[in-house]
Amino acid sequence: MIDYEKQSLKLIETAEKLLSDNTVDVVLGVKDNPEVGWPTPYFARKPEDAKKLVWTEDCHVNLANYLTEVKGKKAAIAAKACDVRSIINLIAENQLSRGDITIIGMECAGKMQNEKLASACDACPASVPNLYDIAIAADGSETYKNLEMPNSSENVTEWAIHTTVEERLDRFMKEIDKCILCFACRQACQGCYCVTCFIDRKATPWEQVDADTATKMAFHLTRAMHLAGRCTDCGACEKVCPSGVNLKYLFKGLSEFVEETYDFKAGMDPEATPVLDRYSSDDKQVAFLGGDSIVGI
Amino acid sequence: MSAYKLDIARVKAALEKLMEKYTVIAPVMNGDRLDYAEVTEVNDVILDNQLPYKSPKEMVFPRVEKVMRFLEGKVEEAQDIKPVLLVGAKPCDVAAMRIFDDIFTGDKGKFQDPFYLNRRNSLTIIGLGCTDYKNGCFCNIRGTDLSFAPDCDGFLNMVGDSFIYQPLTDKGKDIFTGEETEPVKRADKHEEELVLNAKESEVFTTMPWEAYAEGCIGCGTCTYLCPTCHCFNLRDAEDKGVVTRTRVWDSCMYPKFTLHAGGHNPRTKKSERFRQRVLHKYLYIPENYDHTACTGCGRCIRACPGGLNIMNTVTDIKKRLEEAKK
Repeated sequence: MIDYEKQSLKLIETAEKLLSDNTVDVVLGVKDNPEVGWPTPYFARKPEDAKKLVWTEDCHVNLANYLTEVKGKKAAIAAKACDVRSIINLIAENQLSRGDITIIGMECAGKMQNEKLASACDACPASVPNLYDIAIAADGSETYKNLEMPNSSENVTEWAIHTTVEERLDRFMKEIDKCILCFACRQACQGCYCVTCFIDRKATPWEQVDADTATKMAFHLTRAMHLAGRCTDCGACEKVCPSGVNLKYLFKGLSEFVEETYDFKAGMDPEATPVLDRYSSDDKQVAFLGGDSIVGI
Repeated sequence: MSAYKLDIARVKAALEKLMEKYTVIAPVMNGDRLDYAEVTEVNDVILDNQLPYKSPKEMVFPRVEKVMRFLEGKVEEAQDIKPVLLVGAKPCDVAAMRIFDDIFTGDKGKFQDPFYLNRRNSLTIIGLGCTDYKNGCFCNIRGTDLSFAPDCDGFLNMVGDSFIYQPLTDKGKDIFTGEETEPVKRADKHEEELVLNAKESEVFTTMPWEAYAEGCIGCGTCTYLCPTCHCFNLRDAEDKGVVTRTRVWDSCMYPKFTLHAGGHNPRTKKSERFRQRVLHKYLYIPENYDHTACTGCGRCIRACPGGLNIMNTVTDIKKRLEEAKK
């Protein structure tokens, strides 16, 4: 379905060209890493670096975060549809400037991690990124093929309607039981760019003193709320978790809620005002007040 | 002490018995990966060439440990614990225990960490030799033998279908017995090839630290999985008049690690934090002890989502130092 060899060759060719004619200072991609078992981030800075770049079935890393580190420089990025959604979210939230970024849109039908479909790939809506400057299609050409996607993820809203509070609590508790509060999920997340995370602030009651259940609940629930309408469903949090915590359903549920209530999906349009930035005097406050009250009344 | 030959059935039968007296910790499957964990069913124990995902340092240095409570003028200290038997510790993990011993009894025993020693003294360690290197292993150039590490109470080696058990201390004398046999021949001590014989000033600003660390996302997984990372923080938390002092793991990969009370942070960049991790293991510890603080288990390399590689980094620094001397 996807010719990774041709995609790799095309990517190397593109990166070489961008670097040698000084269109960009750096190309963000991945290179082989036999120890880790899948390709890991690589920053190509010279035209001769480009040949180290690869594109494979298991290059599932979301590189969008690294763009914020090369801010101010001209950067190109090899990006899948999910990475592009993250880039769009970062542009919409003024973390990146569109003019600095050259998006090399890699067509993708889902990535593999540990011989399984990587986290969130089952929910990906399209094989083609919704914003790009250079297209690299499934066959290495410049014309996207619009491949069929697995689209087998659960509908969290449906699940929540058909379960009891106890069942939902049970699922959440089973997941956070595995958590060791290492915060790798936060570190890998495109939306978690706060200079100081609420959980890292000194002298707050929710500071990590102990990996106790209350702290874990405070962290995961607050992080979920902070990402409402901002999560781009890339799965980076689950991919880096050393303990196998699967909490993406919380974020997916919130995304479904935001889409239904505010007709907004993060990572779709860099020009759109993020949902948390909007103000409307007839907002029914469904999320906080259940929809009965109108602000100001 | 003589060695014994025994098959896996006999090892498991012995473990079954030992579970009455000890909390037995051994490699068992935890979901789809191997971890050192408490054994509840002896048939779950996996003694083979695989390296458990996490190191066994939690047995002596738990991630979270309540060290004392202050209540109504009273101070409660740590309690005695049931003896623990760790079976199947890989040579890299056994070697790490010696590094822990040195650090927690710092300055040649002058500073004794009571919480560490409390657990360490109740721990019996039985090592298990590897038969092959895994992707990312580099114990061979870190002075750890693939098939043996001496700093434990007894050692198991896989020979064909059976095991040869070599007791090394009194604590390990009666753990396993079997038919008497010749001890496994040991290789001469490996040389620590991958070392930095340099001064801090030669590497501190001259090496391309930013390039080494550019993939880092600051998740700290390397330090959590490392068998020798031992930095911790002490925190006091008050709840209804009772103050609990807790010791929790810290990580030099976290931005807050060296944040001072006044707000200054000497290591604001991830390159500076990675430099601290590399130099602590390869430069600062050797200044105070007769060894480095890396056993070559490769866990940090295999688990790094950013693809950082301490072995390649140190190899590259060595190469640059040699070139500079020319």
